[in-house]
Amino acid sequence: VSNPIGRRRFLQLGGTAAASAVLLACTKDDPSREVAPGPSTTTTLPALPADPVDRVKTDLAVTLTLASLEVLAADTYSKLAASGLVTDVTLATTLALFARHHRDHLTALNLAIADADGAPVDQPNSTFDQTVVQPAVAAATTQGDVIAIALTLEGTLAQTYVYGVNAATTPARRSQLLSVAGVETRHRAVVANQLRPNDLGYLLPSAFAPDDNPLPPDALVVP
Amino acid sequence: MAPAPPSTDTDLAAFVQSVERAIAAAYDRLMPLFAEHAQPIVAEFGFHHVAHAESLAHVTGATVPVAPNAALLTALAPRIDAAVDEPSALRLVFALENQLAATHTFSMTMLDDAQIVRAVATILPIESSHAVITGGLLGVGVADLFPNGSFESLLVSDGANPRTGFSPFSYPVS
Repeated sequence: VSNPIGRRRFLQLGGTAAASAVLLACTKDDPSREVAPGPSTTTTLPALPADPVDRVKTDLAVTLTLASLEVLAADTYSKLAASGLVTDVTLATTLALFARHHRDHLTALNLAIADADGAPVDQPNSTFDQTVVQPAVAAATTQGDVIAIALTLEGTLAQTYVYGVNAATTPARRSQLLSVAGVETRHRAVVANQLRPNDLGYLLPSAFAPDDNPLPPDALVVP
Repeated sequence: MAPAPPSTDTDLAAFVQSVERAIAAAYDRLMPLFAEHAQPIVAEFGFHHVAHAESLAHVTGATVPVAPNAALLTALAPRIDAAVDEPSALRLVFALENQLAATHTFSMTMLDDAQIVRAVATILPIESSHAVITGGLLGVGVADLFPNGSFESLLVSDGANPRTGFSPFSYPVS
């Protein structure tokens, strides 16, 4: 039996809305304060639905949500590139590379969504966009602000993928999500390492990546 | 009789533990080559790899630590010996972190135990970050920090190709 409340509850379990909190903590003077959520404090796995049918639907909901975040990331980098705020050529090249990766991830996710008889995603995650990204882009006036936004996007994506691995229903799906989680984490590390080169306390605050839900409430895309 | 490749999630977790400990042991051997700047960074990576092995041991209920993978250490010996200065040692660390990431992604193609899955999912991103930080020390261009493009590799082999991970069939736990 389908249980949308249960699925929504699953994605919110352990969620801290950390992404919006950390973006608000950003300052123009110190973009490095804008960091991905810290190490997970979760000690038990989220309560996945017991019903196998609901588990498959949860897997699909997480995949749809990730796809919507990939659209958002690629679109946001395009907007930032056009904003005139990015003056450093290396940073511009880096963000263009990230945008290409995000489009590749979206393509792979949409193939998985099609396999699950879902509709391909081509719209950004509206909740995360409206509550986190749009306000930050509107307020951005410096290249440091752009870096702060990139850190938030990449940190949130990386953590949501790790979270999604635990919700996936097959080894193939889990390995697909993990293979992207690693690349999103590399994105975050690249940007963070430009801000604070080799500052391990900042770059790697823990030996383990956080795996709780970093998204604001209602960011879940329900099929 | 030759050791068998892993047939259960616990066996696979033991293999990954043995690889983590082998990489930590390799870094111990490389440590004299690093100067003041890189030494604490690589040392921290080594601590992480031991922590990863301990985490996997914990979730599988292992009471005895898995030893560093002896076959892998033997295979790595020529690469370690070929590192004669800091840049060459860092290039090896960069390759090993990428290969470790691929090994974890490969393991995820077979794992089903929720606790082991969760452990591996929180470990791989750290190896990926290690690779980026090491690449930064080497001055590697941004595109080259993603040796497999938009996705982490999930291919394993005997490890001769630095873009693939370490196969449990090539390096069974003894």
